[in-house]
Amino acid sequence: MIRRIASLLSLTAFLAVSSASAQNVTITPSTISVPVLGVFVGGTTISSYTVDSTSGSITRVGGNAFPSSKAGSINTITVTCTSCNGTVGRRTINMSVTAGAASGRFSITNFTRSNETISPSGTVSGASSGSPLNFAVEFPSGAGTKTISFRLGMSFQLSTTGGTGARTFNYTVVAARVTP
Amino acid sequence: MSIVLRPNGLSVLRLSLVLIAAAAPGSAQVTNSAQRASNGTITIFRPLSVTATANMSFGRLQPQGNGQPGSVILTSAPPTQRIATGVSTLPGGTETPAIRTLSGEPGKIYRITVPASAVSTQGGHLVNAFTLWTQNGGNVTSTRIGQLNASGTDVLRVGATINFPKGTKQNTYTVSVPISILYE
Repeated sequence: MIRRIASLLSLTAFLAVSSASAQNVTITPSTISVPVLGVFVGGTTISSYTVDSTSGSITRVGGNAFPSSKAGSINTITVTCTSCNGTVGRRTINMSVTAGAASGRFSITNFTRSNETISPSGTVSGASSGSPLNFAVEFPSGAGTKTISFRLGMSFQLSTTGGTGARTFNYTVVAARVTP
Repeated sequence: MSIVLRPNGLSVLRLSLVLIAAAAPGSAQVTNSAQRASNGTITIFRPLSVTATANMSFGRLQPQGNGQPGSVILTSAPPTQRIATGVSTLPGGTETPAIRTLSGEPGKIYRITVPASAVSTQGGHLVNAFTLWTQNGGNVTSTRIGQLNASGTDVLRVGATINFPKGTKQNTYTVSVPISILYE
């Protein structure tokens, strides 16, 4: 009898854990703009550019490559946390933005963030610049979905060797909810 | 597995408690996460490299002594020819159109700009009617547009006409021609 009761308790616990796992995928980078940087004529020296996180404007900071048709790009990222709903305890999301592999002569060297908008409220801590860019968002307890949006800037480099032409590149945003 | 290995009720109950404890918040740990990648685009061209292989020279010329003005057309297309009117063309002057060797992004189109006129280094005689020929495209005088080949190279030849007033003396006539080449 005791064994049966214990087995039932064990099964209940297992189902509880499984149920919690099923509800876990609730943080979604719901919006990521696609950076379109334009057309550049490579230089004879390694060239560096920045994409301003706020304005999206592209500025050369070194080298002699030059833009043929500089597009500029405002990259906005929004992360929504539906599992942050709760009335007990803080809700923290660790954010990480990581550059993908170099694409021909192009490579991302740094990220910056700005214009953070948190709903309904919260605070942002951690680095505002880096590669990878790591920072945290802390929401106070409370009911309802929590959201943070921010603008992402970057620095990139054009080397003097490697593939040219139309290139695609990527970066990855990871949002992880942690419990304190 | 633990249940199988220790199949008594008490042990199973303990295991259940462990599972419950693992599910509850404890020290900082990731409870869920999501990620998304963004694909951006950029177009990069190799820089356009222009090498001056030869500067324009009409070679040795002897304006005729009848006091009439004359001219010499220096062709851009190979082989180099001099078509003279009222002028004698003499050998030994290494006549050549201006030749530029281009290197850059394969397949890229470029635009050529030459002035409407220039003057010869010797005597300051009028040089005009520039003609353009490219290895990849042939005569491009009217379009002034060339295109790099699959290897990213091309050769541009610039010819012109030099005009002599009456009484011009024999000389080797060269011209410095500003040639601008830019990606289209």
